[in-house]
Amino acid sequence: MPVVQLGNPNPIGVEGKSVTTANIPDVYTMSERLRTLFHDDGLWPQHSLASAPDWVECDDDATAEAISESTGCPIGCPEDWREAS
Amino acid sequence: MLVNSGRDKNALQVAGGTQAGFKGTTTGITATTVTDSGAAFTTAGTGLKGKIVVVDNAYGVITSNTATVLTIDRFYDPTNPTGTAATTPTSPKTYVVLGGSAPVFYTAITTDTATPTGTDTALASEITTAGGGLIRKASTYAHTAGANTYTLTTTYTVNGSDTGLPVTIAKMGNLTGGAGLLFHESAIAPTAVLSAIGDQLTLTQTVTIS
Repeated sequence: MPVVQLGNPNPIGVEGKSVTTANIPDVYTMSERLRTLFHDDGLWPQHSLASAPDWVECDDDATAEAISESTGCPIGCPEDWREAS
Repeated sequence: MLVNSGRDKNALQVAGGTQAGFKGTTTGITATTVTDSGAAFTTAGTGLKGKIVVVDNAYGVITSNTATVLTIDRFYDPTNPTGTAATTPTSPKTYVVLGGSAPVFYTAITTDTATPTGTDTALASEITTAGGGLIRKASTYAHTAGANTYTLTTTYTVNGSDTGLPVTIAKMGNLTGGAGLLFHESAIAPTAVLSAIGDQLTLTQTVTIS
């Protein structure tokens, strides 16, 4: 079960930055994973006012790469991002 | 909306219900029952409904019980609970019933257009086409640290086993699992029409915790 962590620069209901964590069932295809995360009816708009995450981390490399390619965010949390949160 | 059975489950989930659990050795096991002929399981109220029984290295969600028989939805492999059912353990095996309640991470959809009510206990006319892409499915759970919400998001993809296309999806429900207990039920507005193989539908249930 891929666990996706997304750097959330403008979380809904939380001051400052935060991290949104999503647990995606294994049975989801990559297309379904991306749609689940970032479609207008997906989860990201319910968690963030930002159009995309600042960064992504995932225990499944292919999923992390697909998210990075889809949203343009880097893989891995920048050191200074943690300091700013 | 949070249906009445969902409210009951919410309370059980947080507070644990009966503080003392149960343990013992089974005298019989099937794919949907766990029997201990010497047990005295609680049957008052809703009994052990909604709790988890762990048998050997699998678990099931209790849907009803008598003093000696636990009826479960199915056996789950804890390393892959969203996958196929775990192999039914052979009896005798030790078992435990813990406090708390089973998680709710499945979502089902229906063409039924009736307004959800608090007394609903099942999703009427749930789509159950064997092998279809629109059947009850594990959802993606997500939470933002510090936020007072969580989400359950499900993406369905129509496949070659789905019948009766086009279908108009009018309502969704969140449940515990295979023969799950209904927790939330929500109308989908506007309704969603799925017409062809490959069509996709994404639904997000946002739950406010406090």
